[in-house]
Amino acid sequence: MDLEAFEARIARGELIEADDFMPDAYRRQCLRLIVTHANSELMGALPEREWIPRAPGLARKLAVLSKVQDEIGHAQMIYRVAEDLAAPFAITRQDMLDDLIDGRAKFHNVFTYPAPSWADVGVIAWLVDGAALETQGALLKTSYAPYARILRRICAEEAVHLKHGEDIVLTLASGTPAQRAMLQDALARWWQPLMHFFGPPGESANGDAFRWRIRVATNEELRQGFLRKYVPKILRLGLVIPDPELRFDNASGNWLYGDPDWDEFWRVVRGGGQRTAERLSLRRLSRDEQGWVLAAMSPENAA
Amino acid sequence: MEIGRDLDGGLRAVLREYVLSLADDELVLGHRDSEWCAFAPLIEEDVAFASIAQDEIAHAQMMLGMVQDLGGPGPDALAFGRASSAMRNAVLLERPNGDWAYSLTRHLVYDIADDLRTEALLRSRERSLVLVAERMRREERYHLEHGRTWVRALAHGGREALLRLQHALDRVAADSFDLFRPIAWEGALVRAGILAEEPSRLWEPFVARVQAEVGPFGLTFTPGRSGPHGRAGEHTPDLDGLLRTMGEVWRSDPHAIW
Repeated sequence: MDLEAFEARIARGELIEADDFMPDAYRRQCLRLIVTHANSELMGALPEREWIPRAPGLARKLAVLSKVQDEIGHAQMIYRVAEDLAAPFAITRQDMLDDLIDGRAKFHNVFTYPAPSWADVGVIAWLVDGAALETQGALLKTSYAPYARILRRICAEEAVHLKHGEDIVLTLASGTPAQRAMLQDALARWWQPLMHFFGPPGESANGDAFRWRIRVATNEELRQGFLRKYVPKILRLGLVIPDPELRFDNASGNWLYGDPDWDEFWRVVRGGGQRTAERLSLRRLSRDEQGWVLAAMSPENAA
Repeated sequence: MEIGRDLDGGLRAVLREYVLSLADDELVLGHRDSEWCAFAPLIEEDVAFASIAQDEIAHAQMMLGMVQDLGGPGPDALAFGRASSAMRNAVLLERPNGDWAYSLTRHLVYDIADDLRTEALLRSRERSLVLVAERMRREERYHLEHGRTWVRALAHGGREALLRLQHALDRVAADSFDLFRPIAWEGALVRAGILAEEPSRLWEPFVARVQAEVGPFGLTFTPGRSGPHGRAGEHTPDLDGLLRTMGEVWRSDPHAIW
């Protein structure tokens, strides 16, 4: 009865607020998606964080700091949405952070890769954030209203990050031969993770997540949107995309691409990312070393 | 407005030295602040320290532009291209972040020093110094409040936190004289009306204000008139490490556009 009424609301295109009735399965699916997004914003800040101390030039240092601040700010806002959803399960933000740090929670596979050069900072901010904007832009139409609202602000800020990344990339592309080589290497490193970004093609669009409009676009639709926007821009810079099979198919209007090694994708998704352990250990070290601060702030310890 | 346009060469050189000391304090502390981003005990503090770091680095950028006007290379070359012996920051600011108590205590003590210093700058006859002090004071107000809030909270947070605070204050006190140590050129700047009074005269008011700030929590701040001399370019290996990291990419090709 309740489920029928709920699905009728969804079918009418209505949005669901935090205190509206929702089936447990809907709540859990939203929560999983939203916590993963929050975790990803937090973990996504870490590769670029490594470059804050080394950013070449004061303006770049300020820009990278500001971007990392935004990403962590996004995590903070999204965890708040997640906390409301998780309240009936008595799960707090600290539980979510503990799950992340102790390796029990998911975050986006793209943030498990190393960022060994300054050019990686540009490629991440331009293309990884570009890919994220593709996903998040589609989620603006999600049925869970608090998440959709927060995404509007996030997308606006991500658009600024894209400009920041594009500026680094353009500067390197028009720089010295060593700078161009650094950029080409970074693109080569990030191409496969970018193809993996949206997940494998062919997933069913008939499941609950689509029926309840938690998700609205398939992996392949998102990937094609990304390729349509960025492949021409990358090629115009004279860079080489490391996929000899990549070509535009006029008949379907899609980009065709070679197998980006989906076995590797599954390996990373199952927790085997190159830098996963190292990045999580940074947050764990922070929790362990600064744990006394939280203890001092807790009501029991306050004098 | 270009700084020191009507000053003679000798005065321009000492004014340059003075502005450089202010800029380097902000640059080095801003760099240390940025190291807390994504490592702080709370997500809210990752964000707060990223914001404070941006303020400090932007102040440094502004003042290094003034140093350039007074003679020398541009802000990036000054920030990324100098050896530690050419840095004029107080040693207090180059110390590694240590624990949360040390970082917050150092920040509060420095922000109090900065408050006194920029307040004095408002009385300079150099219009550009007044403008920079006004801008800095608008933002530093929040840093001061941030440090004060944390020190108060930790001081009420049980025995371990209180012990850590006192230990931090002792370490900060040992390095504090560097902030206001009398320097040979300061008299010349006062006589020219560029500074309303010698910066070293702020030492006693500074100590009194820090004591008034921490005293109510049963904490003590008892610095001596000794310690390192960063303004003369005498620094620790910690600053060498900081500069090596900061300049790693920029120094790989100082003539490239990054």
